[in-house]
Amino acid sequence: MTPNSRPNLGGLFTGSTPPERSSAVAAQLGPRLVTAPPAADSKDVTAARESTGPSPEPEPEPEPAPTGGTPAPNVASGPVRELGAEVPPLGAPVGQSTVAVALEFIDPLRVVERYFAFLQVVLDVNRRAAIALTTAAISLPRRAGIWR
Amino acid sequence: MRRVVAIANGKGGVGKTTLTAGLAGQAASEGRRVLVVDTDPQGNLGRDLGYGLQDGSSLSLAITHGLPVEVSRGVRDGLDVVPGGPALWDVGAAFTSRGARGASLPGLRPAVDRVRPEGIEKDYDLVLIDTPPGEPILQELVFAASDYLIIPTRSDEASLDGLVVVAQRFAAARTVNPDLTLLGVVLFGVRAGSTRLIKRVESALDETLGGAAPVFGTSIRYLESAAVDMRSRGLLPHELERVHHGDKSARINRLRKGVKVDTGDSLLSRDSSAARLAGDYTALAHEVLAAITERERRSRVEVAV
Repeated sequence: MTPNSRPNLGGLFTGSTPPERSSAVAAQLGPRLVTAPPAADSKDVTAARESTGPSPEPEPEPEPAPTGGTPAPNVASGPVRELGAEVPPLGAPVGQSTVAVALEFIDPLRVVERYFAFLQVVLDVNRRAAIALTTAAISLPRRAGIWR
Repeated sequence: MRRVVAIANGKGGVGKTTLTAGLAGQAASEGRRVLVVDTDPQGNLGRDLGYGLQDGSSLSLAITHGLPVEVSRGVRDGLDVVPGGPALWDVGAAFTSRGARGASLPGLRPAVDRVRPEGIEKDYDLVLIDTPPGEPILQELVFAASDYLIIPTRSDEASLDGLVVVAQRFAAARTVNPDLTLLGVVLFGVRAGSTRLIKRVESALDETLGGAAPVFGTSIRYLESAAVDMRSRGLLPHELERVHHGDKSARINRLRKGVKVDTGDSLLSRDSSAARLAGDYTALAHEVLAAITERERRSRVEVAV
């Protein structure tokens, strides 16, 4: 990455730099509903304004019916509900415990599973070996001709 | 009061859809009423949220003809979805042909404004709109309908170049929607522990943004196995974490009974990494919501002055 070669896009995002081209959809869009700026008074919150251009101080108006469809039901929004009001401070451990962080690279359950899987293999090998030895031991006298 | 937030970048594969689903799911799981609108003709949001793929014709007709949009209710508790799909490819053509005739179209905002939560009087707290990367008309329609924009990006040059594209579209859209505000940029899909890389990219992003908006302090880590687990099962990060807890109990029971572990349908990700990923989304959701609250507070002060 070469930070020095990067363009500064701040002006485009703040509006201080005009766009290189106009909006592809601006001409075709009908009158647009723009929600009113949030206000402490709930009545202000439900107010909507009609805006067709970048007018900075539009007058609050009753919500017009949207073009070509059924109008929006007049539902009270209630008082402004602050989205981040009950948010815990950033940096607080969220969604994970300290133990989980410490054990990021070690899954104890997997270790136990593998340990028992290993024991199972050892047991299987022991059983086969024991059976083979026992079988050999049992058959040895017969092979040696001691028993008939 | 609803806040309409677009999630966009000029480049594909930077995590827009996954981020939309994760943020929406997290906000809904904390008791907020959330609507997600998928304007992507690929309709991949269905995989992240675990509902079947749809054709998006309802949303397409709502944008072009003002018909009422169909809503998938209760995708999660407190989370409704307006699905996308291939029919949204028609929107660009409709705009081109009507533009040639000098006719207007309703656009996205009236369609979204008419959608209300079912059974309760109160409105959605948050409306998140997932956008397609390569469809300028659809993306500008979304910008014209949104209050805020969040830009996810990866650390590579091509993803950062996508910022230039989205900045031009953003500036153009502000001619019809002067209230549109860039809320911030999210670094998505970074490998855990790559602190130096993160610092370097954040610094480059800060320089590129020129102080217009912050780079969110929380980045979303790259975890391929968790991503596969989530998409294959239609789980969100915090849900994968819960599934891991359930899976752990089942494994302990199998150990107690001496039953051999069947790895065929087991999760690929580790529970600790799922927890960390869920933690990323929780922290980011809180950061985003706090940023919106702060913008609203500033707005109120300006109105009062």
